[in-house]
Amino acid sequence: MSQKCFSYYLKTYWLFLKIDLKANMEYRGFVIRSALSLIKEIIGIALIWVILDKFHAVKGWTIWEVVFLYGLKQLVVAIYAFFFDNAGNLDFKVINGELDRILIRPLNPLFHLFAEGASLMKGFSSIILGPFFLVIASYKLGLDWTVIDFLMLLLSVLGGVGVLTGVSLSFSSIAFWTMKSAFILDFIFVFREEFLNYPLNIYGKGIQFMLSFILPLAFINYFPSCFILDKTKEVIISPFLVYLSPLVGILTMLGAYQIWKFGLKNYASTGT
Amino acid sequence: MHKDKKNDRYIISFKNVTKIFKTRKREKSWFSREYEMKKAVDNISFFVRKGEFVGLLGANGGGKSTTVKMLSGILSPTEGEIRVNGIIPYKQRKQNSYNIGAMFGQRSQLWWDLPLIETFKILRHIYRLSDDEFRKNFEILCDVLELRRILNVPVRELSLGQRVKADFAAAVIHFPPIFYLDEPFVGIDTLCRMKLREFLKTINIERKTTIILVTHNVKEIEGLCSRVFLLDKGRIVYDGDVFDLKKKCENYKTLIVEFRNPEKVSNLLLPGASLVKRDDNKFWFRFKGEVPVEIVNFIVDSQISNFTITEDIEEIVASIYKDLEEKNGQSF
Repeated sequence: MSQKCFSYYLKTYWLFLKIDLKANMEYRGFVIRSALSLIKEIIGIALIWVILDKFHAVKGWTIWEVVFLYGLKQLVVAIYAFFFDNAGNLDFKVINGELDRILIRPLNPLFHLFAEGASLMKGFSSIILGPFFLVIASYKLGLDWTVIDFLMLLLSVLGGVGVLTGVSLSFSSIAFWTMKSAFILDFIFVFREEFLNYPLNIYGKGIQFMLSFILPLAFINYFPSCFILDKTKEVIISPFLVYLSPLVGILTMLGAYQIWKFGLKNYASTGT
Repeated sequence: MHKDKKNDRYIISFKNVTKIFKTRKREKSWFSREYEMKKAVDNISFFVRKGEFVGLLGANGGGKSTTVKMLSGILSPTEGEIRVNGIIPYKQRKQNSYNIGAMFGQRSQLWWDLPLIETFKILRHIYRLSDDEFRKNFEILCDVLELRRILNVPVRELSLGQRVKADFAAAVIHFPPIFYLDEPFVGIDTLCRMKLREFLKTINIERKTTIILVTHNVKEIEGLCSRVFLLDKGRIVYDGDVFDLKKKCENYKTLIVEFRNPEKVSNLLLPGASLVKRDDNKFWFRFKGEVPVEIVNFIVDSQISNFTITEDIEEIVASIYKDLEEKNGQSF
């Protein structure tokens, strides 16, 4: 029964992805938009490259190590954009009444929200370039991949997606009380895009602490990279943190789900 | 036990339901925590039998939409008990969603960028309809609502009327026993409106679909609904036959005239009508029954730029209150 349910939901996701792809292709310029998003991605890494090229290394991180860090972030962001992008769009859904429609459909509302925002287009360039950067950096750095390393990276990527989704959903759920939460998500977006491009240890202790324990975005790419690149010693508080991305991902998601449920209950009683 | 049996006869039971909204007072400082309690629905009870076609009538802010949102399971009641087809809607949203179809105003559930057919394909999956079921329902809806020609047209290229027809079909693709409609006809041309009314009549009679139609316009429920609730300030002030309500409407009418030179008519008196409101050069007169000859003469004689005769909801509510007062000899 539960397996049947699982495959039903999987198929639903697939249908939503497909319908989004079709909608995207309805408009002209599909190819141009895809190409532009690839170029944007390349400019992103080029800018980092330009800065790092001046210094050769930052705080013990070489250029290729930073490329690895960047690739990991892009991979996580791409998977997030594929499946969970709507975690950050809740206030829009509340304001225009689309949430009401979701609530009268026979699907889990959170699943429906995610499925509706699923888009192969949004993360299209990152899903190609993220792994590409990882592979090329790993080659340049001459990394030795063991099965454990690979497994850990895989789980950390999933954990990172969990962190990103959980953080976005938690803050997005503020919309259940105030209608507006987009500005807070813009704020988080800036954190994600600006702070995660460089190793965490270049920032002050305060920011390191915040990005580890308050907005745990460092678990998206920094801590897993420290594990793979053997930099466990530079980590704040405890080197043990480098193993925790999968766990933090699960915890963030669980926490966010509680906030979402609580928010939904409040929505039903206040209708804001 | 006996009581439960009795309730089983009703597909919708709405018992002593109150809904209170807490809204923050705006004019105070941003950080103040003063709230205003607003009773959107104030201890309402009503029961609907399977196959009834109910009109929910009332002015804006009367509590109509809140009522429908509670019936749909989107909102939970602050107090009271709601059962729809044996289910508590907001607690069992998923089961409830199979039992209901809903249209909220002009909010569309169609996929804007895609040919219309795509919306139905995904809805078939969402409502877990078998191929046979889907084909059967879809064929019927296509025929009645004339969708066949536009199935491959992207929704954004449809006219408003076509889109609303398609939205009707999308809302009931699973042929639910209950259909809620909140102001579905706003802005639609007469021909399309007639078609949609025909459609509602058909599913009401042939499929025994229970329909709740929310509107602020008396004309829209005429000829459709077998029963009307009139909501005002969160309470039901009238529950009964449409014809009786219609009679009450005919009692009072309002004449709105706009003068070119209002100075000349500052002390205006019309026999058989009373001046109820004035706003610059616009005057509201209330009168009973047929349009009096004096008014016709007056309109012909005066320099009027515009005039209308309406039977608006406020007037009906007022006349119902008046009737109640006369009957009970007490203020309502």
